[in-house]
Amino acid sequence: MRRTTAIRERFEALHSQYSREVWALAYARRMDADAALDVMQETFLRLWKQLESGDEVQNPRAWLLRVARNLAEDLAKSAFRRNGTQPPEMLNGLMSRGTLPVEKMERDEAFARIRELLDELTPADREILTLRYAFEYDAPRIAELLGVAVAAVHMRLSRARTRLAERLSANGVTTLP
Amino acid sequence: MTPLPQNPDHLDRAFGAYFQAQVPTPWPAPPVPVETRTAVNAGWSNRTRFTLAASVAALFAFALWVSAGGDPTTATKGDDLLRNGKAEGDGLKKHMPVDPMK
Repeated sequence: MRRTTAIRERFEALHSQYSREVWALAYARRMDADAALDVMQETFLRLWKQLESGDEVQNPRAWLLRVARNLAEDLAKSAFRRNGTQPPEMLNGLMSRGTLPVEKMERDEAFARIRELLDELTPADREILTLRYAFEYDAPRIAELLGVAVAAVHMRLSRARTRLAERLSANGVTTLP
Repeated sequence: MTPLPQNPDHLDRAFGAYFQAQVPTPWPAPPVPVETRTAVNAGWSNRTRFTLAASVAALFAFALWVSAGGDPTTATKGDDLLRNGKAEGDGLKKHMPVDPMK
């Protein structure tokens, strides 16, 4: 009983510490918020089984990211078999925020375009953008999470942002909500 | 609506709006593992296995006891069974139906 409590405490601490990073990694690969959530939950369930079985997880972060990466790739393969090359939902996760219908339509359209263009970036660039914009992590934190230099984060962030802005312009998106 | 891409702040805000719209709200709690059910199942499984093993052992012991003759004061010996069950030819004829062709 005491062992189970200890495992649960460790499990919850790891979830609190790494779940956003796991979600960001899965999201950067799939560009699907719901699928990323499924990958995140499945990854943590596997972590629980690992902890419960008594096998020591030496580096939980590396373990979690490896499992999440594999699951995201497996999901991509199975999604490809089901849906061909199109992602299941282009407008996935674009929830209403109480805006007017016309504004909402314009925003959804711009978001769909952003999403399409994000597909053209590398998963590494998308991961940095996700960590920066979805969770508002600063460059030092992203650098720590990804194990790269702060200068490299700035450079990749700037490059990904510029590339995205250029592609949006080239695709006729002149305004954003 | 904001012009693109002249103002990097607006671009940042737009990207922020896009990515934040993707983040699950509220952030999900840790998944609930089914360890309780697993523990119950494990206990049940062990009990089942023990019961099965005990039943097999009892059956085996009974089979040994029977093959060893069991209780000599109450058991019927095979010879007795044969002797008592021996069919007599005449006796059987008495019970045969009469042949209507005769």
